[in-house]
Amino acid sequence: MKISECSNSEVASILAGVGIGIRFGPYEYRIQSPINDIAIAVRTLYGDREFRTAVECPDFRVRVDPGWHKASRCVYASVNGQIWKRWPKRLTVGALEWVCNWCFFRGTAGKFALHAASAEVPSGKGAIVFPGLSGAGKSTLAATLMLSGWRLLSDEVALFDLQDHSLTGLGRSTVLKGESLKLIRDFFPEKAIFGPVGRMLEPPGPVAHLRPTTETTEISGQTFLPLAFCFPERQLNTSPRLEPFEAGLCFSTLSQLGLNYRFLGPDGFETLLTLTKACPAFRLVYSDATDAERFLRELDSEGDLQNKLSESLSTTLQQSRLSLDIDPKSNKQPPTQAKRPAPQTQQTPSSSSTHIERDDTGWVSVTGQGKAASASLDSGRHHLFAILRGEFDWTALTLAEWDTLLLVANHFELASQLATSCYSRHDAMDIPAPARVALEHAQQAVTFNHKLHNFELQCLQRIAKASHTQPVLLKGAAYLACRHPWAQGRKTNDIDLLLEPNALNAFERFLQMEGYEPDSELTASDRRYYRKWLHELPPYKHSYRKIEVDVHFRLLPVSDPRSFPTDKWIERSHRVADDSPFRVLDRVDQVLHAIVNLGHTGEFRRAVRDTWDISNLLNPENCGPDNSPAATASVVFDWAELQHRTKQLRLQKTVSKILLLGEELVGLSLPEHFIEDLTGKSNARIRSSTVYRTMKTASLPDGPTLRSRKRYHALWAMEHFPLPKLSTWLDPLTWTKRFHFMTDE
Amino acid sequence: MELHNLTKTCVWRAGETEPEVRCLNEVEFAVFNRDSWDSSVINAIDAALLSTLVDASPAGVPEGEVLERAARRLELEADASFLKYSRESLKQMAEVGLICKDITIEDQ
Repeated sequence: MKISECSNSEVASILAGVGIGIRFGPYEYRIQSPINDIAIAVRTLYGDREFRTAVECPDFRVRVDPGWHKASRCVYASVNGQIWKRWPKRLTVGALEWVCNWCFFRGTAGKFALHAASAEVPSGKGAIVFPGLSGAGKSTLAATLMLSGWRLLSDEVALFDLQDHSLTGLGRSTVLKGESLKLIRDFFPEKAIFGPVGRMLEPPGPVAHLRPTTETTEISGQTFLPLAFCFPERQLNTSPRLEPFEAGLCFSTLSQLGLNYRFLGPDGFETLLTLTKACPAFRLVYSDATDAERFLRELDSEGDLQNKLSESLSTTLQQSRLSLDIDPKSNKQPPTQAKRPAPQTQQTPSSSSTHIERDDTGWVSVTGQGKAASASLDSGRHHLFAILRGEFDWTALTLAEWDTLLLVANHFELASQLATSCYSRHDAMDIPAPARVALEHAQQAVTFNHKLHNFELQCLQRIAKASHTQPVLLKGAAYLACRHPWAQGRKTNDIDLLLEPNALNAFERFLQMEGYEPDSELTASDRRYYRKWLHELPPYKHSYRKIEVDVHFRLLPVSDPRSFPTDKWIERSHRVADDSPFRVLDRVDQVLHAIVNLGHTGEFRRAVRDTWDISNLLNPENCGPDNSPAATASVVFDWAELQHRTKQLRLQKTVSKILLLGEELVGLSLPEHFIEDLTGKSNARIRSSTVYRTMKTASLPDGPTLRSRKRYHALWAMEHFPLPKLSTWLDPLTWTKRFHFMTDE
Repeated sequence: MELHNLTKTCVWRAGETEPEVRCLNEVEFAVFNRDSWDSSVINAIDAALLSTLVDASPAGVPEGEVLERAARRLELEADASFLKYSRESLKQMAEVGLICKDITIEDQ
């Protein structure tokens, strides 16, 4: 049964429950949403697709959920358990389509994803690729081609295989805005079918998605020979023509339009090089998309399009055509490392036990899923940490359990550690193929992350040597430098360094000489505020690479009543290697810093990952190889020293709460009576405190959206009013300092 | 540390790993930086400067010497326009991380 043959309410019911399964090209999606507009959009735009529930362990789990932001209704989009973008309600359908495209760009490891439209030529000899940024005219041209009978591979993403460089059809909808929407509606009034219309503010105008034609839907997953790159360029009052596009410019433009290009590393470079050499590139100049369609059709009908394209140029471009070993008519899937089987048995969707209520605005609320979802997430969390600790054999896991496990691992930003753990202990072939695809992607992501991180460290090392300073690496950078085995799969987002206050000026000056600059939006007053009252310099980023470098001179803001000088910490630190200027904190200080960093910043979104770090730092078996300073310094963790330093710095409240939280979240093991000795209070008493309970609520995913209203409020509360901040706010010294700062302008 | 009281020496050197340079046509080359997984398009003069640094000692080469060796490699006269272009090229290749400038500072 096709989706269009179902009623809106049937589609809405499945979307609000287990989700609809749709395969776009090589990738399996699970789309879930309790929003009625999404149901209408799915039914309208993908009506030619088979109506089926989502398979277990899809490539992408896309959710679009309703929410509120500053008293306005909005939607939250999440992919594979990571909540990452908010959209206004007027762009609800746009959010779904945008997120689905994002998955191609950022979530694919075996394909090169280029920001381009592509369409098969009418003769069926291959496909032309139309690269360009948003607004270049791709979508209008793509819609015109499709409604004129061309089979459209996609209007936003051209997916190239890394092995044979073939293009894959995706069968996606085409987004049209403002004038383009009106143009296509006027020109193809019968053929053009649109989903719900949204509204943009900049530039103001309507936005809607065009349903793919049946022919376009049919080629989803089929592969095609790329014939040429045509960069669309609209000009007023001109007849369609092709102009040469130099190879160097083509290569650099395509590398910029390939959003996963760098992520693919050497494979991406080789693919792009081959494509640039094999496919002629042109600038397609036109004023009207229908004229451009006729022009390209005529070229195609007169014989070999590629020859015609070359002949049409005033200057002959002798492009070296490499042999692309693809049968133009081939429908076979190119080989991949771990290939997901297409869904064999079609599960007919049935009404779930979910109870759905729709309000007068068309928004639905779903009940009956929350407890089941939370129980499943808890079980996924237990499986995750059991696997990471090497205490669990995953071969017994069902595909549904892998599904939850991967969702949870992604949500906690531990997917790459899960992948590293799995691949280091067993034969990866034991893992079901769909889960293996996700793990391979996670591994690729961490390889890329470490590549960028190491390169940035090389640059910072030069700066440290030149400025005769010895920065202490903090957090992720330190864990990797210590070569802790558990950190091998850990991603790091920025680089944190600690310097003695008297070394700051020299280091900062060399940072600036090397092209690092602070955020241009920060005023001189902001920069002074950082230096005077916070614990770090304004965040620096290299003008080209954009990785954030945080240079600390303390570990807590000066304005925090618990702030302390770090000279003793620096004294206790040790060199990473004999020839390196970098140092790392001793293990007790690393633990203390990780605890303080979580407890005092209030970023409990990552509490599970951070407490897992702390758990590993405390666990001596997980510390680095035998020759590393971390291992030689001490095998057994010095709990007495942790207690001593905690008391010295008056951090008992933070340390006790975070350690107990770690015990509950990730199974961190604590010596008996440690907390009682530290605080004089029982574990149960600390756990019953409001702050602790809020911390826990903020740390754990809750309900099908992973971020229930309760968790959202807990996260907000921890970010804005955690205990240390509250004490800071209440501390009269804070107000004295603020007054001094204001009068110091 | 007050920089104006110190002696500064600068040398150019290639990155840790030799970059992959591929010919796109007679005058343009695609370069892949294996350290940062980034790529760039360079011309023949840029390529000569890069090759000079790749072939040179890992300790680095002073700027004047790099420009001289590159001019010889290209069989070009090291005139003002060549020097101006080459200096800018070195700066831009350093910006994207293909090469780097080592600065050593010593007390006078």
